[in-house]
Amino acid sequence: MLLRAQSLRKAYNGRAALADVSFSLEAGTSLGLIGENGAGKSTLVGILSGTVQPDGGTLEWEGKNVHIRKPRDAAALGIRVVPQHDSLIGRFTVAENVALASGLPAFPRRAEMRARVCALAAELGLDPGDPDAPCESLSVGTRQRVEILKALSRPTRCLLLDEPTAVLTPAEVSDLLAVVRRLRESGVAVVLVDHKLHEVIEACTRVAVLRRGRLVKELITEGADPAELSRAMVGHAVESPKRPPAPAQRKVLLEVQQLTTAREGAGVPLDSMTFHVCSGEIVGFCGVDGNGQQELVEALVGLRSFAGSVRCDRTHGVAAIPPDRRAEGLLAGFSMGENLHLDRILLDRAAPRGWLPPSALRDAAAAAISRFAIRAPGPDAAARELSGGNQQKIVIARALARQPSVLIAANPTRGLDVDAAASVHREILQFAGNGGGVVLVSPDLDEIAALAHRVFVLSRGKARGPFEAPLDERAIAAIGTAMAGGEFE
Amino acid sequence: MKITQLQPGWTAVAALLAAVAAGSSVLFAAGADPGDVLAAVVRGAFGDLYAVGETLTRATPLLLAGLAVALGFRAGVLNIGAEGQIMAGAAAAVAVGLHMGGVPAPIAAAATLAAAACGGAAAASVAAWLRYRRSVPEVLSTILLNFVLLNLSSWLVRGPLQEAARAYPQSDRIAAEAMLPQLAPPTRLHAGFLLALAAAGCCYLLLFRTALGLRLRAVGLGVQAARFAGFEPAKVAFFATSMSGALAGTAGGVEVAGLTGRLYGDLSGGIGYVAIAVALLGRLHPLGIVAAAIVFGALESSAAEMQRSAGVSAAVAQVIEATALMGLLAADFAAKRASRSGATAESAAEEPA
Repeated sequence: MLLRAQSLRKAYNGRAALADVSFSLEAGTSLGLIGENGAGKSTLVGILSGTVQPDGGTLEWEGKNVHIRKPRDAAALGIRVVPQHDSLIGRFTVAENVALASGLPAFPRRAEMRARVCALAAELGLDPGDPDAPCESLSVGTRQRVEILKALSRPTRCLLLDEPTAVLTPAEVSDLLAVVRRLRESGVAVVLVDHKLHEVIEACTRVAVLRRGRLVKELITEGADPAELSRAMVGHAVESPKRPPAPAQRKVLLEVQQLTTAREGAGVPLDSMTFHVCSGEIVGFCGVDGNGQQELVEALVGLRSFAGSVRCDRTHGVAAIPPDRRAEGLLAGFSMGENLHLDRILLDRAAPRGWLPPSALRDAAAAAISRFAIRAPGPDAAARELSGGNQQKIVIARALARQPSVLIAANPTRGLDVDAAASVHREILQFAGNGGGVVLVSPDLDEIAALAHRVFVLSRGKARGPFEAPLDERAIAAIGTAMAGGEFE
Repeated sequence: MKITQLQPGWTAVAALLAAVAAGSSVLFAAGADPGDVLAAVVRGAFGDLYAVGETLTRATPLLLAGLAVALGFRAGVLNIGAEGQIMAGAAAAVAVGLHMGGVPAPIAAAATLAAAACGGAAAASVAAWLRYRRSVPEVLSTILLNFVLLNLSSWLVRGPLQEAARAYPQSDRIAAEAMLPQLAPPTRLHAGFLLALAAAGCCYLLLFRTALGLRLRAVGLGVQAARFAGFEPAKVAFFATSMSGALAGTAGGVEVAGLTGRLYGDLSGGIGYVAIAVALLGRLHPLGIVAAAIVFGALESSAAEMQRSAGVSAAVAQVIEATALMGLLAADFAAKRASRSGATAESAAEEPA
């Protein structure tokens, strides 16, 4: 037995993140760790990698008790971590980043570093592209491969992959899962943290389900029933959202023609996008992050100058759920009421003479709490006291308060658990059902496929498509190709 | 209860107590009796009418300049140029106040202070323009402008604004009509203190009771969120910088119109830097800043009494001020670490939506 964890416990401010979790890991096996957001997956990875100290419980490594007090202790055992967000130094090249992880001689030689990366890449079958390219110029998928090479550049007994597939295209996901299988066969113990069942079932020998800090199910993957695992994950069956039928009356609410933006910083400029959104319609834009999503949202809400035309029903206009809830959607330090007025138009409406009485803020918060079933300590609570799902409800409440004719929903369920995501989906569907138009931007193809009437793929600033719902297997395959930047017929 | 779990307001008080404790141990090591010294501080700051008057007199510019710093910080503008803006305000007040002879007193004083506010705002606007048109960080521009403005005022009192007698590097006295009324003679306390209190009240209302205040705080907490709200962060921050400069300028104007009557080269005497400590100790909250300014005013006004009756150098007052600030930063750091592990808890511990 390589690693045995016994009754691990960890609480934050009295709230249990992990309660009595025991599991074991053998060399040459892979364990899929699944669970919703907040189930305790990150805490468990943190304990194994030395960034989180458990409150109780023991860890055994090859039969001996070990204490992993800091990341260096974990590294000394041969535990390698591929973090959720890569930790590469952007200005450094691929070869330099990998060399940095595996220890540098006093006078590193470029050719040596390059040769080492190439040898490693060939051995593992991971293509990091040009070893002399600076990492900031690479796509997210490539950066992740570099991160894996970095981890494996030293002798590895156990590899922890923390939600590695969230940022990948379907083709990249299957490549990654193949790497996981190869590593397992070469004798490494792999822990794959994920919240997508089918990926875990494909790549892992065993799967463990975490729910509310407890290990509720552990079983051999072969012959496992996905539906049973799904129930174990959430605790009850989850209804998938029902897309309303495509509207018969085609009243165009938003018409975008030849939308083109200038290059700005590291972003991808939009390249003559043309599409329209009708009343009652949900138009989905899927694609890997960084292919023009931010630019599209900002251009549509008027925060970015562009060439071409965006025509919208002027009386109500557009309102947005911004792509990054924590940086753009709301302010953690603001109260709910203040966050509900984080909008020029709503603020002017609430304070026509400039005075903003506290009662206006509190009333708005109380109204949102009851209308959207927000769970909050009280109407004066700060946004940081709310869970991600409840925070997102505030963002949605604010967007809908403008009574827009078109709702731009960007990454509306990012980081939310299944139940919270379902309630966000219900709001979006209800908005469309009442005759609103929705632009849904999301890297999650499953979400797009479930909600959108028409789907475009955003790839390097271009919109490819549309694909009409319901998406069949051929359409999904074509979307996958387009997401990866390839051509399709 | 761990200190890291204290509320932000309490961390300020805890830092102050820690500073007093640290200061006492320094005194003890130096051979003085800390009890004697503390008694001297209290007596020197609040012992009689004169002491109270002196404490509040010294608190006045600290309060105005502290509000100036806080208003900027709240909007994410790190204006550390209050020192220079105080001098700009003082110079403008003198330039106008000299010509107020014969004008009715309230109008003369108001015009003098308005000039001071404009002077400070103009000085800060230079930094704001550099920041929002030319991307020069305001931390750099404001501190560099301090040198420019301090030297400019020292040139003024040797050149265009020098007294008619040309004896000392100072200006003539401004017109008597432009001087602020004394509140409690024979103390030096003047109406500027009431003005500073009113300014604190106005800052509170602006920040927490108006739409503009919400915009301002939003920009300070997160530029991206403010941008998505349609708040135009650059405009809001420009406004905050100018307001901040106007308050600091008023601090300089009040010193002139309430106390000195003249412009000197070293009139500001570090108030603009102490104001940063006042603003932070006051938790960037106008009411907290009133308390912090009085505490710092008390320390400064009692320095003399401390020296006289306890035989301790007046520099100890500055040591306590500095220790309080460092204690506060340490408490902040601890609180931030605690809240960071709390934030991980939020994402790690399950909470149904």
